[in-house]
Amino acid sequence: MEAVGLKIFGFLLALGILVTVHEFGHFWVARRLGVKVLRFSIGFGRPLLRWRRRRDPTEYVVAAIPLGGYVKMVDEREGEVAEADLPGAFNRKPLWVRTAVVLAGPLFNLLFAVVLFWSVMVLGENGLRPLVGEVVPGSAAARAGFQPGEEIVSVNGEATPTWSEMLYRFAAASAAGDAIEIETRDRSGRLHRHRLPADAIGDLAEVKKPLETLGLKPELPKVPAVIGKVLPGEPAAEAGLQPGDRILTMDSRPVEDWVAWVRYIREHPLRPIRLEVERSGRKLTLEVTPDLVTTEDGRRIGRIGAANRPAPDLWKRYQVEYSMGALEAAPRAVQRTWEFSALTLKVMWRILTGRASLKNLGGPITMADAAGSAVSAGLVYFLKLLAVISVSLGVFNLLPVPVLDGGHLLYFLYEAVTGHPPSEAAMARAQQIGLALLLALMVLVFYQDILRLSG
Amino acid sequence: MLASRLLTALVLVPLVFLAVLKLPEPGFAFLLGAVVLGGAWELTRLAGLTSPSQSALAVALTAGVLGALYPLRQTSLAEMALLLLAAWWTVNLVAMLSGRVQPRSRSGLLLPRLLLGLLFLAGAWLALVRLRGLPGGAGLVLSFLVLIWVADSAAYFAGRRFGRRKLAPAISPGKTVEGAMGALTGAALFALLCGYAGWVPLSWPAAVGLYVATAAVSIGGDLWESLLKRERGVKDSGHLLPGHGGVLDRIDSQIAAAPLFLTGIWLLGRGG
Repeated sequence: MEAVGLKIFGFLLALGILVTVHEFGHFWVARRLGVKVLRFSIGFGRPLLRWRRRRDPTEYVVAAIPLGGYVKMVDEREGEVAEADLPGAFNRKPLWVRTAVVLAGPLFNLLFAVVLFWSVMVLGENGLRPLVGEVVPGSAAARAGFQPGEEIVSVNGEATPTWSEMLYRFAAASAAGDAIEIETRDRSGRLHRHRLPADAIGDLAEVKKPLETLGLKPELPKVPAVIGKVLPGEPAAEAGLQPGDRILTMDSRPVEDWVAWVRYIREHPLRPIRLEVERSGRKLTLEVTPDLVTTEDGRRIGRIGAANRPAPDLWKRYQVEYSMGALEAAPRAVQRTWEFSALTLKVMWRILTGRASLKNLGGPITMADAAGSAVSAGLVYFLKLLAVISVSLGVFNLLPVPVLDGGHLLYFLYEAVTGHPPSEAAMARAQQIGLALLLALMVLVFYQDILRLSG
Repeated sequence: MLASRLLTALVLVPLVFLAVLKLPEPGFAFLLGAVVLGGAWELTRLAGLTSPSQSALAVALTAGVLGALYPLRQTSLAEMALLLLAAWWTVNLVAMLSGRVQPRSRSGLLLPRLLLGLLFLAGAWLALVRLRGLPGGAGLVLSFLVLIWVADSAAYFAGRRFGRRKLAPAISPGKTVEGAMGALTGAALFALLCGYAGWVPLSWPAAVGLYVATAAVSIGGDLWESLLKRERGVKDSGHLLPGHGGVLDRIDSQIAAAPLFLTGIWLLGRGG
């Protein structure tokens, strides 16, 4: 239940911030251009909190339904307007003013994303270097000539300093539907080029782990099977194991690394295991019988009560600190926002034309899920997620669908071309069609979310 | 009036049962197509086409559209289109009940109305043909048709017995809130029956939800047709069926409800 609470909290926090940014865009530009704003509301429906400032005609409101917000401007089409307010009425403003006010919401979302991406880049991320550990024989990766131990340097010409950066580049490349060019560096420092055909990954949404589908597995450090700590009173201590012991064989089988050794113990509870151990140059033979423990999820495994020796050096090869200077990060943040906008549009287009699965749609539940995890994963992750959602919100609102900001822009375009706004009746019909589109989309998105949740 | 109405029903209902249960899917699609084209003929009149040759041309075009849609009936494209139509009818129902849509007297040719109307007819046809093609499709189609009849009859009797407040006075003065409630109640009871008897691949709460929603949207179809007739100043859409008015008068509820019903079966259905 705690996790659900965290998810809801993360979701509301993210949404609250993004709605505020969006509505503030409309609000700020409207005021700048002399439109009188009556109300600035975060959330729809019944007001929960409201306050006014002195000599400020705007009422600031937090309302009950936190799935959006609105800026209410003086407008003759929505009701009677006092004579004094007429110069500040939205509908009396020239076309460019109205366009700017409508455009400001989505643009603020995109600008906000730039700021967030920039902060993430400057704050820096700890990442894993994209090292290839294993290439599955016969896989697409093997056919493209990948070798174990190579580090992936760039994907389609974009540098990939970290594992997550590389995953993003793969996603972008496969959404674009092009062949993927990958540059790698092997252990001796030579560069190689590999080319994956466009259909190597397939539909991204169908594939949970795109790299595994390709046949690439990450390289993980091999921790040597050397005992670091022995818990008193446990089987390891009773068997006479000591810190510094290197396990050579178990039941006459050679021990590859710590992972293999742990797996063997877990698989053999209550069974004596014969060990060959190296202690300060001498070989010893010991026997240990793992205890039986039941894990939280009900599995019965063996345990001897010994821990490995921490080997920080070992991880050095895999970890990278990845951050940028403030100046250097600025153009990159703009570029990243642009790329994400284009990616969002591309995926939408591919869904519409039936070339990408509907499973690419993520609704509120998916967002909450991600937000919850991001909140607990730390500030940088949360900022990153916030940036991505901000971009989708901005792009989505620009779609030329009545009811959305893009729909208003569509009306303005009509007005610019014909010289007069569309008729009330036409706008009412368009409104209905827009609402129907959104309703259908919402049904789909919730449906996908629930499918994902239950499956 | 009621007598000839009942008599027509007595002849028609067994025929419909036979057609749904006995005809193979292509035959069903063909027969349903004929009914829908009959509705299209009447619609062309309501949209302001005056000469029979023009109407015939529009009906022939619609027939062509149905033919082109037939191979697409089980694709996901059809699914999306029907979801959109279902959403549209839902929004339209709310718009009409809230009084946002008011009849205005109109004359002359209304091209958007004609095209949209034909689109709705084609959509309903597509939904029912698709439904018929699902596993257990004949039962689903029958269940849908009976649902609409139950809702219509319940509305009629509840309206006569309890009817006081008008549902949408500007569009259809005969309809009452109490009648609509009767329709929804009838739909819920029928859904319970279908759910318990296992006639449809839905759990009973899902069946109740879907059937009530379908009945609600079917009222929207009724209101939509009333609006068309009112704006043209006619009472019946045609005179084909004694006591029942025209074809469109008979199938208006189904036109609106079919896409929603199909979408519901798709989204809520077990193993569907």
